[in-house]
Amino acid sequence: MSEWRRRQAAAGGTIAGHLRSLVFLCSAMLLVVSVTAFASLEVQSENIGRLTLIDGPALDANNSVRAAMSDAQIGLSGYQVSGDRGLLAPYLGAQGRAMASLATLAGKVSQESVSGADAVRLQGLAQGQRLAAQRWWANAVLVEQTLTAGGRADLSVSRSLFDTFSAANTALGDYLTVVADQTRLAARSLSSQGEVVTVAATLAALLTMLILGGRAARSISSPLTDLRDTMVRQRGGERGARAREDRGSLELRSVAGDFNTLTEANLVLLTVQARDLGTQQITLQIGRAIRRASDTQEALDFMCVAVGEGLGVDRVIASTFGAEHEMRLGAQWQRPNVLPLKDLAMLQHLGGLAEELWLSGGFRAEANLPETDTTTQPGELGLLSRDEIGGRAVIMVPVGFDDRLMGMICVIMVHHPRAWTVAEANVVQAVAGFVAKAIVAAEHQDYQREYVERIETLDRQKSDFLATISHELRTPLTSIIGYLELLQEGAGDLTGQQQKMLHVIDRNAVRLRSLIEDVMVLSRIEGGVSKAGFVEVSIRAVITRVGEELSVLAQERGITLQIAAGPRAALVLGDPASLDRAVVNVLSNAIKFSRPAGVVTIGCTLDTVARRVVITCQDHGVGIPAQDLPDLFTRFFRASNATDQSIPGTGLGLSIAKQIVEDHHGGEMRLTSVQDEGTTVVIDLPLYELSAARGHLRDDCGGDGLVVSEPVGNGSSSGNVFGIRA
Amino acid sequence: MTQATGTSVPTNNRVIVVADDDPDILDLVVYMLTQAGFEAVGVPDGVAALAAIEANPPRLAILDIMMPGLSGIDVLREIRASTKISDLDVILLTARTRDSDVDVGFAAGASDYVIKPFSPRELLRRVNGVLARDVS
Repeated sequence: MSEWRRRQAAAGGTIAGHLRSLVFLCSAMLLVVSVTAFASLEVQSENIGRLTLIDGPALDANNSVRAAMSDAQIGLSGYQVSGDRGLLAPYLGAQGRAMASLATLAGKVSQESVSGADAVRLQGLAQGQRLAAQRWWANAVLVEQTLTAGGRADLSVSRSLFDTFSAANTALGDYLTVVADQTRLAARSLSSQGEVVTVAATLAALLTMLILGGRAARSISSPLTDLRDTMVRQRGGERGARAREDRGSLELRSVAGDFNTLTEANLVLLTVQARDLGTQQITLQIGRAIRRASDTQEALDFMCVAVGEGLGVDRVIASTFGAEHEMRLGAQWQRPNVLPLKDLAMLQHLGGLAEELWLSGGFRAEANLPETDTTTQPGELGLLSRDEIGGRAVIMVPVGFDDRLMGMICVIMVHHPRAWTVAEANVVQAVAGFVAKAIVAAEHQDYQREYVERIETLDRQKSDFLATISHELRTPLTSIIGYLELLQEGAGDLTGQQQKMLHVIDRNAVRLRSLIEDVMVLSRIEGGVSKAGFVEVSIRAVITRVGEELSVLAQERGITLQIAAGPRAALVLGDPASLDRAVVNVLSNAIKFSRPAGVVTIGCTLDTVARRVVITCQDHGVGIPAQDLPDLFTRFFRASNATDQSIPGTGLGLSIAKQIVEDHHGGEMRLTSVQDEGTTVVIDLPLYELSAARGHLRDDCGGDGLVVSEPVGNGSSSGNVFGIRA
Repeated sequence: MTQATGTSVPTNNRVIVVADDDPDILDLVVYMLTQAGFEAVGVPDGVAALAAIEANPPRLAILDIMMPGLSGIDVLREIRASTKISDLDVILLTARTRDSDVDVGFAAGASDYVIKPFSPRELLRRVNGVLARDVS
């Protein structure tokens, strides 16, 4: 409590105190004023009472006595002089009146509140008047009696007695007047005194209020303003702004003090934040640079420099490890006046320690290493010594991924100890993470590169193999077919039987040739057709071209080809060679399986609603037996009636066509057939529309070469689209 | 059009040089051409082909591509590069069927490209075709 009082005294009071004082003083003032007013009113009423109840009546009574006496005297005198009893009338009643008034007067006089000598005098005067009156009356009675008895009376006696009385009456009257005047005066002066006191008290009250109010305001508003100013300055960035704690009431000083404490704490927080941000930025920069490095060595080199300079240390060394903790790559950085290490073998010794650190998910930060450690072997997770590290303080962070140790980073102070902060250790750990990612990414890239190379090699090998096989198969076949023809053309005379045998050989040779062709095609398209090489293909052009190509075959077999190549807008995105082959396979089947003098129709229609291009090929030939329909697209499958009727074919045509249409071009191939009536094959492909101006479609029947059309922002193709003119 | 300037050969020249490393095919083609009235010279490889061409400039050369040593394409390039026989008609005869191979062949200056296995009749047609083109 005393502490509070002391502080209160030291401070400019408390706000509560101020208010209390203010209220108290105001109340006191009010009380004083009202008491004063009340008191003066009281006295005033007393005075007025006196005047109206005592002084006035006393004077009146006095005057009444005089009046009565006067009447009596006049009456008596008149009677005395004239002897007329009628003139006695005033005298007759006067005594009673006079006596009554005297009594009243006496009563009033005794009520007079004057004290001391004045009271005695008043009493004396009243008594004197009474005596005088009584003497006159005594005389008057005698005179009256005498006169009535017919005697003569001396007027002068009654007269002088009356004069005496009159003098006494006047004296008393004057004195009563004086007393009344005194009272009146007293009342007046009291009232003016009262006014003065009231005014004075009011002024005093006002003044006090002003003073106290002013003090209170100062002790409140001034420090409040100061506090607010300080806040504004703080907000404006003035970090050093503090509120004054030495002015104002206690509460406000407390508030100012709290504000300052808060500000300090905030500043500390900001400083810490700034520092953390700083280390974060260092970390980010290092991360970015590591990512930019073209290989692991460069990443390590840069990392050492960045960490070293960023943290302001003496030396940074780093290395990557192989499976046996043997060093693979190493890097180091040191401050300009520090000698570089000749080799980083030290890191290898610490490999075991690094492994343990990685597996335990931690790091080591030593602020002050001891000189030498004789108790543990180097590298054990025990005490590290200065010799082992070559420095006084160190942060050691393992670099790893999953459960694999990949390397280590050591941040070293050579001569001086250093109390590492958490932020600094975090930087090194984060950097270790980046380096790990960089190493993994580099490994990944290497794997990928190897993989791609292997695939490319395989692909190349396959192509070469195919080419070789193709060549090897075709070469002997050439001799077979060639000599066969020579024989057939009449290298000598042949019997009918021999001719037939040669015919069989011929057919099979041709079949072998087709087989080789188809197998080559199949193995080429087996690997899939890269959609990146797809271009805009005009089906109209394809059908026209294929029609021309197979017209010879059709002619040979006496088949009429009806070709409706279709509209120009029938475009498909695909590989022209494959689409050619598919249509060739389908059309050649239709021709082969037609009867002589038959008709084969092939046409193309465009379904704009469903956005499909539909190629329909129909023949009226031997058809396909119902039981063979399910197996039709199987490789090497030939329908029973095909083999029966010795129609050449490999059994690969439909399979190849189907693969091209469905697997590579996202289309559909449908076949319907009735034995001995014919077969209809439908190739249904998605329509390819140029989103740019259609006007670029040109006449594309006949002619060679490539036409460049508008670039298309199509997701499946990139860059320009080329329209191929057949 | 004399041999001294060496840019073309008289149209009555019936010499055709044929080169193929497969003896059966070589015999076949030589036999066929001889039957058709040409003077066919068969050689087994590219070097011999060049020698034969230079020794006795033919009307036409039929070259297999896949030959040991100099390939048919190499021979073709040599021919096209030489001053004496640069516009000799050359038909490439080969089992290499890829579009890229064909392009290479034509780009090197072949007059025609016949794919094995071929029918002899077909080959003759092509030979006559080439010779006919040359005349016009």
